[in-house]
Amino acid sequence: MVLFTSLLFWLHLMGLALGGAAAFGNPVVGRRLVATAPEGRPVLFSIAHGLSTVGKIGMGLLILTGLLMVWLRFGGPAGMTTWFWLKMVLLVLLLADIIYIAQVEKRAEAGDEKAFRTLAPLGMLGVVLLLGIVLSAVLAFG
Amino acid sequence: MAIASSLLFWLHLSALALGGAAVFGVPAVDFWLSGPGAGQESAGFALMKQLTTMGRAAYGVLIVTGPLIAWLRFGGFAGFNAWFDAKMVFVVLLLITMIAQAIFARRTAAGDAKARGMLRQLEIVNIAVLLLIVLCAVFAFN
Repeated sequence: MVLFTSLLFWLHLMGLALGGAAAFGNPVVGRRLVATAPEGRPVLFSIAHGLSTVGKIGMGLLILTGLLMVWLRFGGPAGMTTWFWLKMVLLVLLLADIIYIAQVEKRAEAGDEKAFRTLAPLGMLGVVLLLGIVLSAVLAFG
Repeated sequence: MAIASSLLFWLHLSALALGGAAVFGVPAVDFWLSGPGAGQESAGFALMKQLTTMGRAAYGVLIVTGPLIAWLRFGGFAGFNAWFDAKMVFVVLLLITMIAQAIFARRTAAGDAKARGMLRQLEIVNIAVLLLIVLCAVFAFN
């Protein structure tokens, strides 16, 4: 069981690295998007979609392995500290941010300038939420 | 002291996520270049360069925070098991592949097709080395 939960933790950390590809990579693409004329944007949007796919795989891994570890290592969420529950709240907010970004991205690709300008702050919010999740995880589990 | 080492560990994990932007983001952009992004080399290479710069910053943070955590949490490097030694070997290997990547990236930019092939192989090697570093870390400290 220890070996299994160690492997789960390894996958969890790899999920974090995969998630980082989208969380930190897409703002880089976003900065280029802002500086690019509308006709050049589809190219950069398709790169952003690629990085988002990597990030979604990471997010899936984090949620799946996180849930399994909570049950296998700690016997469930009962007895977890406030930091753990803060982490869960931030996780839900990050999920909502990811879903909302996907919707705004579709509108921006269709030429909606207002949606286009909303993408950068939403991306930065994702970075802040990810850093908050990691901080609360460190304080919850040591 | 516990707060300091927790904050260092937070920085360490955040740098892992930032490093993920380079280790997983660069191959994602490269994969896109070989498919839907064919012919968009200048945009693709510029993004790959930025992601690589982020990866180097992450490596720096990991190298600084890692030893500090070792001293603050464990009183130094004495007493670590073979997994820790293996992790250090892979950390050095990752540094070597990052340097090689920078050399081949410069050659690729100058039009060397052979260097381009090497660059793609190094992207895969980087993923494998990162997976092994994290695996060794989990077994060394878990």
